[in-house]
Amino acid sequence: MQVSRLSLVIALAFVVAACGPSTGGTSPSGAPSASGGPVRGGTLVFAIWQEPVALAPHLRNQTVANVVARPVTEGLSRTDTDGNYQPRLAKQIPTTTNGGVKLTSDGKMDVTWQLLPNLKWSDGEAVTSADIKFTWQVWMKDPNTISRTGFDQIESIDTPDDMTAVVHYKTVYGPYPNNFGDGLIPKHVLENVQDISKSDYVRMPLGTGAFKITEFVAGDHITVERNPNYRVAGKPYLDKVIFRSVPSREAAIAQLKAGEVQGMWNLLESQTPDLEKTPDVKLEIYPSPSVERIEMNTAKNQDMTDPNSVHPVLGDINVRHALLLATPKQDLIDKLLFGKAKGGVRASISIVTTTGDQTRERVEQVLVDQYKQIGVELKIANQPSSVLLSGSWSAGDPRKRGSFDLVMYASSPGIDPHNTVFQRYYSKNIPSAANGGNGQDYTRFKNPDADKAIDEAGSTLDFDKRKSAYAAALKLLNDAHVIIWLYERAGIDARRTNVGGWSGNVWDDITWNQEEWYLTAR
Amino acid sequence: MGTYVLRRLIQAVPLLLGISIASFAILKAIPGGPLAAYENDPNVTDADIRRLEHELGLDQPVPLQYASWLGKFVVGDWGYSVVSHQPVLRLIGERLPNTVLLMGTVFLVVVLLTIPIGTLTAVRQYSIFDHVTTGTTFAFLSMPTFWLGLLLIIAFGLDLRWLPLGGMRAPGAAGVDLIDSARHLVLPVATIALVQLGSRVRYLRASMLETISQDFMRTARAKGLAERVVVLRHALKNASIPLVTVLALDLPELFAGALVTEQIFGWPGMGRLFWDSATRFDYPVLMGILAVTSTLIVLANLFADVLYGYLDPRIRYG
Repeated sequence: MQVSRLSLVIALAFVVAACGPSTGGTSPSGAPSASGGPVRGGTLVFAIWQEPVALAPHLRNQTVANVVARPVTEGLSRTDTDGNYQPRLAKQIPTTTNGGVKLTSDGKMDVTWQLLPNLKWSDGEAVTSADIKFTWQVWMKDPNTISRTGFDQIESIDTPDDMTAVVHYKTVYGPYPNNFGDGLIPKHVLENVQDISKSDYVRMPLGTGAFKITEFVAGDHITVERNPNYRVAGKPYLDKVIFRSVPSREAAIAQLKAGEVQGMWNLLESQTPDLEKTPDVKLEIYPSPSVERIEMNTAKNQDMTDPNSVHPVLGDINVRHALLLATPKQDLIDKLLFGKAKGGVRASISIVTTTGDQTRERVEQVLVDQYKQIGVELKIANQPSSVLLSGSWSAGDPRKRGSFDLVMYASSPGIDPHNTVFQRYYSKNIPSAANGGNGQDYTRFKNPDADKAIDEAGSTLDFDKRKSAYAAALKLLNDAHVIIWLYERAGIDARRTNVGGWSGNVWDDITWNQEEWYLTAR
Repeated sequence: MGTYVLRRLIQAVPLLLGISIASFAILKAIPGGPLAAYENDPNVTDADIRRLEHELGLDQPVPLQYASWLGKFVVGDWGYSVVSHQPVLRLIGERLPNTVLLMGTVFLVVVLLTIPIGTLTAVRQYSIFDHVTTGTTFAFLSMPTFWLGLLLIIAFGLDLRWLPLGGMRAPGAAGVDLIDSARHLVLPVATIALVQLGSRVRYLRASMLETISQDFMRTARAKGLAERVVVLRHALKNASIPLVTVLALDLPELFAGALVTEQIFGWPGMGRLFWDSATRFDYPVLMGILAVTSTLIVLANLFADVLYGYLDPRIRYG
């Protein structure tokens, strides 16, 4: 009797709670808000914990800046969740089959872009092919442009009419479809500006996207509002998105739990168990192109004065193979006879990774034990990421200087693999004193057949040919056992359950489709 | 007095120059640089890095870089951020009001609480109030701000939900909302003020105890003055001289902000600008902040010395 009365009270409490105003719009089961369909209106607060320094397409490089600016500045193309190019401001992606790309007999190529009709900047001015040409000019002219990759392959651009731009490339350039992907730069606003990098455009770039920037309060928040001139009727659903500056990832999680913010991106794997238990918060976990790896230096010598030198321990492919086998799985240890086969000589090498990264430090601890079992002494000598990953010869990046044995870090390729494969695995990109530290072939991997395959892949637009050529080059790389691929990093985002239309994109930032986002009642 | 101030000001010039050389050398000695941030971008090539190094003057020898910074700084050109390309003066200008609001409130709260608490603990020495105050202030004095700040956030922000977790205003708040601003000020102000209060109260208490035992206090009481007048007019006025010096030395903080607290609470002030700039190796911004802060500290010291002489006529400078 007592028990049933109690359960009745509990049941009643649930009914009351379910009918209460606090759970109003959504179903009490906590089902995803998508059930209700998109709703128009509302303000979403998104947490960011790094300060975006520049939002202009040619001057931004931080992930956080891309997250904020992606829905504002649009390019001619973008990448969908399956890794396919989508036309954005263009009618279609030009290809050799649709006649948009023409290879000329002298080894160059012409790409013809057609703009969508009636495009407008968010200030109401028309977007024309002159803006495409101007975008290239700014990219090449502004000395503070961060990366000129792709734009430096362009010889000239013709604009036969307002809707058409013909881009003349100096070479056959495979990644051309996303060359203009980061955002067009408005000619009518900037053509008379002397130094764009010092103008207001850096923080509040004018774009064609679903939102326009209305406020940039340094260190506090950035507000974007609905662009009244957006080309898609009925979009975006949201009136406003406020990117709120919070002190840390942990603070963002606390504010997400408290409902002060509705969305955040880039969580750590270790933070997911806690959030999975939190009601009203939904996690989205998807693969990312970033891969944690250990690279082995095959040519260690003083400051890479001799690119042909051979590392005393890691120069031996059998040792590298042994380390590779000793690394990921314990049950492979019994196969590891190579270390001992070196006539009982104890090999001693060091490993370097970024300081203060717990996961990496734990991996190192495991490796010290594992490598000991195959007769290799591993010494840990970590360095701050500002040094280890500076990517600069003059700043003393040990990878550039070749002053490491093993280095553990993560890196992701672009959507088009060419830059990555060429920079990292082509023999002329071995950084050395002779070439001024050029290139990122940190393992000093060198194979004429791989070079040939990479050249082949870079000189054709035939998708299947490129694919098999890269595969051939990467097979040679893997056979050399110079890189131990550890694990793929995950992309983890979190949002309140009343946020809909949100979809993680392996190849783009979480805000890539912000025009589809909407908020339902809690 | 005039010549004394003038001499001190002239002496300050080589001192500040030395500070700026040391700051620049230390900043440059830290391994790494602003371009390291571009490493994760597969599209950034070595040619890009070398072009940017040249454009930002980072390929010059360090002494030359310093000379070029100093040459422009003395004629009022503070330079541009090497990361955001914004003028350093603008970056400082947009953070300064926020820091003045935060640290100004802290300053007021500390002064307004130190005087009554410090006086009372001294007048009622060995009372329960004295023991409790001395114990509490000592406890707060020993607390690191990053820890105290997090405790306050957990208690009043996360558990009780009385106050916001951070920031300066509610997201989307339009215009000036005094109540909203005050709510956001409470926790960061409490964090800094509680720690500062500890040392200030103990300072005033010690100085009061010393003053109370002086002969002129007995004279004042013998004249038949009311105890209130004796304590406030005669004791406090004399006892507060060292406190005033300490508070004057706090003034540069109005500009420099509170590095740790601003970081914990996401307060968009000078401390956070310094922190963010330091993590990005943004040399011109860091040098700008360091130059102003060191100048203010030198001036505050001079101000404290002058004030001391004004408050205590027995002290003469020559």
